[in-house]
Amino acid sequence: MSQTNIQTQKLVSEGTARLLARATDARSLDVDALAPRVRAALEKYLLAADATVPAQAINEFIDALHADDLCLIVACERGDEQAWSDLVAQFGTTVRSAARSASSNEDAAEDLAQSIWAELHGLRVREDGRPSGKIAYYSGRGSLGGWLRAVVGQLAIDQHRKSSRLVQTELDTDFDRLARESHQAEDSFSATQTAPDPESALSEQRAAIDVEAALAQAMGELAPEDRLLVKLYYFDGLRLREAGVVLGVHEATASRRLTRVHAEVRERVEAILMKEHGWTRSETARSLSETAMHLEGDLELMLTREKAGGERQAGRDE
Amino acid sequence: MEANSGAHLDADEMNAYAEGALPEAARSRYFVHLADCDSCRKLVTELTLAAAREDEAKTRIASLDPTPSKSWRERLAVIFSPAVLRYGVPALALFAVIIVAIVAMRANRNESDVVQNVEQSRYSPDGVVLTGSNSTTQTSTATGAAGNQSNGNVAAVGEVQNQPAQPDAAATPPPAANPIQMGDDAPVLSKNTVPMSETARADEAKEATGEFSVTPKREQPGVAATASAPPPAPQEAGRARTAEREAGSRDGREEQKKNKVAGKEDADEIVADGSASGGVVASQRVANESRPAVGRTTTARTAQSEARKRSAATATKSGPAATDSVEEKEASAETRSVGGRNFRRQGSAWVDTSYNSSTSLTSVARGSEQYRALVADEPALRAIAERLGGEVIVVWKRRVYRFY
Repeated sequence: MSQTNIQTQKLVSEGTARLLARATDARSLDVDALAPRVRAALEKYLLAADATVPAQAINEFIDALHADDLCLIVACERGDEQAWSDLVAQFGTTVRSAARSASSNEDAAEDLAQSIWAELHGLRVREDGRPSGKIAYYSGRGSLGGWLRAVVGQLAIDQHRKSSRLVQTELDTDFDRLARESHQAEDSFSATQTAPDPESALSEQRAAIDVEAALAQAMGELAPEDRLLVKLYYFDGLRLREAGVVLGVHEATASRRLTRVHAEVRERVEAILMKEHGWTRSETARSLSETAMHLEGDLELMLTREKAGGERQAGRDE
Repeated sequence: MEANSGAHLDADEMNAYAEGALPEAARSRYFVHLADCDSCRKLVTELTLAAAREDEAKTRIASLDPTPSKSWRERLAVIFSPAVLRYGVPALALFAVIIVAIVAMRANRNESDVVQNVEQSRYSPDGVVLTGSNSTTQTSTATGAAGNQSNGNVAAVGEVQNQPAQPDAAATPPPAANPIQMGDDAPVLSKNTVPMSETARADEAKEATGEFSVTPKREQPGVAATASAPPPAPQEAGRARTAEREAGSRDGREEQKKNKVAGKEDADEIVADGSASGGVVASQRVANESRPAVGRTTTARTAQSEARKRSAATATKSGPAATDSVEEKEASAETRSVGGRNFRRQGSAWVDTSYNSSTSLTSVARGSEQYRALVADEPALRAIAERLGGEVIVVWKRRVYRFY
């Protein structure tokens, strides 16, 4: 059942009223002051994917918002001095510790913390309701403390990027590695070379390239969650339990999924090799085992290479 | 509004993701971006793991200490909880019992030490040799002896001292207070002989069985009345000690020590005491009542130790001289006549009136082969052994048998 705009607005108003009622300190805010914020959050998270959301989902969404945190932040944005002093008092430590963990030294941490407060002060409400600062509005979905930590983290990354002339992002690193790897692929396969003669070595190199291509393709065919899992585990070096936490699953689930993904990828790679590259089964078996030796380090590379869409391909030479 | 999968996650999205506050649909969207964007993935990973750690810490703290602070009342309640009481109280009781037992045993040991010391001094050259075990009569015995002994005054004094120590001794039947009957060997009571005979008898008694019965305290005729206050006192004290009741023995022990110090010994009075702990002490009084405290003490001690090993049957008849009290006591003893013999009840034993402690005893257990052989040859003996229960000392054909 789709909600019309009016219906949605009604639900938002009613939800906001409920929110204000359950807040310990509503900070003199009223429905009109808060309703636009709630609406924005709703659209960002719920309605963006699916405009036809049942009323119950909307109500549940609004009722899950952190009422006190939201009221506090909105009051700050409206210039409430008491709210500001409360914010500093409650979350000053949070900001400082987040800045410290995101920085390499005390001075940098201090600078970062100051920047955060400056940014927060820049969160003035504009007439059109759009944020004026760089920081996205706090929606109330997560806790205010967590939001502040996220803000600090992002600001740290931005500062780091700005601080170096050559914008080094993980994307760039990937490009560099790509170049490196392909270069290595040409002349450093000697380490894994099994064939003594140059002829065999060359054919081995080509086989390896085929394998990598097939691997990248197979990875691309994986579900996003599975691919994310592989990245978390192999590229980011997370432990299985940690990868599970990021994915929101139990460690055992993550383990099973990873095993399944491996099996799937291998099957898919073999199929691709034989079908699209014309390999025989025996060739496949041999090459895969050889290539698997240095596959792990290149796994991420495979994934990156295969990704066709997104910002990665900007400026990337394949 | 465009899906965010292509764009980087903003702080709010990242935070919502990290805290699991995203609706499922949004979450799936972000998987796509996160799988391909290393920087976003890195920060999101950081935030997510940090949030998870915080939750874990909070949960752990909450589960550990639901009640933030326990008042002292609550703590006290825990101590007295049923579970604690169930195990704690019996354990404490057991502990207390063990302590008491150890203390008691220690008291006994000390007493035996005293007795040994007394024995040694018994054979001191000077003064009359204290024969037999010194009379550390049981407390009650001592008490009785006080009256019996010729060392009346002295005894009294000694008794007084021993009074507290003699509560248990009091348990000893009055007959026990009677001095050991020396049998017909009145001469034995003489200073010189008495000690020896006493000693001999004591030895025999020792050889016999360890059973102790309360035997009347033996009083040396001479010793009986004349003792000066001090000497009897110590002896009494010794006697009391002989009582071997823990309480009594402890005090008596001290007394005996004092006496021992004095060194001189008077006539002994054999006092056989049956104590609850089985110590029959034959306290021997030196004929000379004026013996020094030491002597008496030693006597008492020796008597006590002797008595311990002596069978209860060592009933001594007081000598002719100062047997008044003794006889009074004896008079109260039972007598029976069986098989042509006269037996006098002494403690829990029947003692042949013709028993002379100078004769060696032959102990025979009823029902043993020895016994069967014996009664087979001497039917009359069997009659005696069977008609008289308990310990029976019989003089038979130049030999003395002790049935038990």
